[in-house]
Amino acid sequence: MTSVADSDPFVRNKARDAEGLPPSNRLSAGEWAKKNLLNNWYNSLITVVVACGMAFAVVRTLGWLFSSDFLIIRRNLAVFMVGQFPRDELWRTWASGYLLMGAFGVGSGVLWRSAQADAEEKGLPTEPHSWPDLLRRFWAIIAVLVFFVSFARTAPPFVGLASAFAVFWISRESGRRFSAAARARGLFFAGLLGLLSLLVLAGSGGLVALTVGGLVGAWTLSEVRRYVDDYVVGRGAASPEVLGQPQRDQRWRLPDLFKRPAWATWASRAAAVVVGAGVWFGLRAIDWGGYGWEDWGGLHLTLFVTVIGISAGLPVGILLALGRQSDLPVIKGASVIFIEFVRGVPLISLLLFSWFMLPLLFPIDLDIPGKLTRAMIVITAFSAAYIAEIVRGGLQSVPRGQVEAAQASGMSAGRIQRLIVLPQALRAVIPAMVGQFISLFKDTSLLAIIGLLDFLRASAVANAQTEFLGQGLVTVTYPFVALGYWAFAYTMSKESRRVEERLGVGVR
Amino acid sequence: MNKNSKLLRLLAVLFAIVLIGAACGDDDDGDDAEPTETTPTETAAPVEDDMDEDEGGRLAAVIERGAVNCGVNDTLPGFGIVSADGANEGFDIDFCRVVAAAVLGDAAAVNYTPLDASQRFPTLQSGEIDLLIRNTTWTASRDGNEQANFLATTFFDGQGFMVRDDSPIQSVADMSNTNICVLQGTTTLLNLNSVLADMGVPFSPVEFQSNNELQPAFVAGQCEVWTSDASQLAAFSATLDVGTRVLSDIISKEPLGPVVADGDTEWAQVVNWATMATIQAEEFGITSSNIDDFADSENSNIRRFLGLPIEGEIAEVGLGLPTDFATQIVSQVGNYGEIYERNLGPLGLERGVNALWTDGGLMYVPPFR
Repeated sequence: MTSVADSDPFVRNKARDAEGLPPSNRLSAGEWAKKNLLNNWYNSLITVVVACGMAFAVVRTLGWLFSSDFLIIRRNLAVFMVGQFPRDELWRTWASGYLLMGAFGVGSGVLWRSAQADAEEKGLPTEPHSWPDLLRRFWAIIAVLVFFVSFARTAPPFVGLASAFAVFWISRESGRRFSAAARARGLFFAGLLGLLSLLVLAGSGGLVALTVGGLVGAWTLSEVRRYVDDYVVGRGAASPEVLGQPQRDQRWRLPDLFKRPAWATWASRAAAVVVGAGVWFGLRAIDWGGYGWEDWGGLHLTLFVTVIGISAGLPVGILLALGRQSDLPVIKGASVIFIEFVRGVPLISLLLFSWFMLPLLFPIDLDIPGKLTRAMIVITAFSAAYIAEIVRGGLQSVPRGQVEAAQASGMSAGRIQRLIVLPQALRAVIPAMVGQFISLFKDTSLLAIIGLLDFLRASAVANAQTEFLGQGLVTVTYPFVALGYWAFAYTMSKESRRVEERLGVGVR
Repeated sequence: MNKNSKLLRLLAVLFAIVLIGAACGDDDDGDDAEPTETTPTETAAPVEDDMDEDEGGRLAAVIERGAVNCGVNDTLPGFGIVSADGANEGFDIDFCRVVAAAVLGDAAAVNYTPLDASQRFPTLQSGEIDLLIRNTTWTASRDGNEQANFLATTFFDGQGFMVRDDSPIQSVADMSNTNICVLQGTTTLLNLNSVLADMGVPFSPVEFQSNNELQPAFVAGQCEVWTSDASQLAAFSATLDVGTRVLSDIISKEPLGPVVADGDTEWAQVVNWATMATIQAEEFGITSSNIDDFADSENSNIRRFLGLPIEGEIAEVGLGLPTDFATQIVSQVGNYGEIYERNLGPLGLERGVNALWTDGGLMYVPPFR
């Protein structure tokens, strides 16, 4: 079988042998094809048939690409991206997009910088950081964008997106210059930018203002405490290097000598409440205009619901997983009932429940939240139930002995979970979790059944317009939507593999 | 124990957050439904006669809200679509605007809720929408079982058939052993089954979820016949990239119009008279462009209709509508003919039976006095 293919490598390996190198088993492309595709008559036949089939598919796809008229997408780009969001308020979407990119940029810059510092400290190899690296990470989204910009010939949104990416890059670069000690401050700033983007878009939502107030309050608390620890408690008693750095994980080890006096604790709390409440009421007092999220649609809605479903579902899911392992029957029972009920019914029936039943369950004098709010509650509950079971699997993978050892060394239950169990448990379940996130992303297309105009539904809506009626343009819009979904899902899975690699899943 | 009490506290906080979230969520949105008036116990009571006019609460709720919640279609060509700039448009949509113009004086004060065929009646019953205008056929069982109150018909449709140009099929009788494309869950499918069974014509239905999937199947020849409302077939026939023919056979009556929930006569009357005002306006020849010329009209019927003062007569007709509601409707949305031409004209639909009774059609409304 190998006699034909061997002649060339034999000569090559003889040369390597003369240089004192071991024989190479690398094959040239031609050799590889001979060995794997054309090694006997029936494999050759299969190769030819499959190759013809593939060539046919490629030719037909290219034919579709160049013969299709992408006018429907060009005309309806706004419908695909933001649904029925009022067009004269579109600047809000862009403004909030820029703010969000800034938030992501600062956040990822800060995280990258501190990861880098960590790695240097431990003598581990540092991560590459460059333009090509970012292109590699987000090539799917970029490729799909470029593809549609070139075929649908829609330059203005591309310019907008490119400048949004520039905002991301610049804020990320400025994030790099933050000192490692300011990591918490940087992340706080990123979170604030993110919430501000929501405020610009959604207007003076009481919930958003409350969250910003709470965040600012919490930040005030930590800043005042840090000040107290550094300059009042730590007066000459401990070196500022130890206290000043954000080694909060080790603080429980500090001796009682460095405990904060009661007045300092109360002063910091009072400052936090005053500042937080001030910000809350201040934000509420401003008329932000804006559009409630009930008017959102398109890809914007799809991504928003996914992000909310993940970021609200994850903490709730972790709590449910811990609750299910609790020794307290009430908590355990409640968690089990919630998880098993929500997992036991299809998402579509939960959405219909939110549509038809929730209004009946609300007290008459209380205004019913809008349908997207209701749908979001249901989607969060749904993803929380699934995440809970995934996290439970991770919790069970942490050896019991570790918990017992931590208990023996006097750690509190909360610290044991936070410092010992959860980090290992969550690390172990990243692949399953990302799978859940991706399926949630695709499940959001079910929102169409409760009358929300999501990314997929936009395709049906565009095809019903008089201008595009009866031309069978689903053959253009469905591939467009499919590629859009794919770009984001693929990027999510690629990013998760990066996180896995960084955390050494499957290696340690 | 410590761990448990901590968890308990965490769960309590979580619960509180969910409650706050639920309570605050409505700060942002303007399209809340009004739940108070149509709880199931109220709608279930089939005592329409007991509800006298000042008891209906939906009109007051709509005025207080400042917007009409309208259940519509967003993918039906001509009747209800979403345009590229995100606006709801169409024949049905315009009647939502007519009601808003009449009740609130602002045709733009409408919250649209797109609904699919199976959800429209439950949504109407839940009180989420005030008004359903979604190409809904008026039938006895829907009037009875769905607690729906059908009002003045705005469009008389009928079920028709479309074939390809080169097809030998000339009438329903020729459809033996053919594949017929039809949308699932519609009265169209029910009519098809019963009429062809009565005629003894065997066929196999090919069912689709929406026209978006049906249309390529028809073009690809997966079925010889496409049956749907004649208005839809005419629209597709004009735009499909294969030659088609709409048969003259009409096998059903499909009167389409606005629907409200049972149990609120006042609201039903308001919607009914607002709808009919468009037809009366066309009969009078009043359009959105010439309405100003009628301000000094001598014709007492027209003066009465437009809410202009008439000596020795009280303008108030007791419907709960402003006296100038017809003026608002015509100036902001237009008369029936304008609405028809704007939305169905581009699809190439003739007026046919939807012409005024004075032109031999079915559009006939009671006098406005």
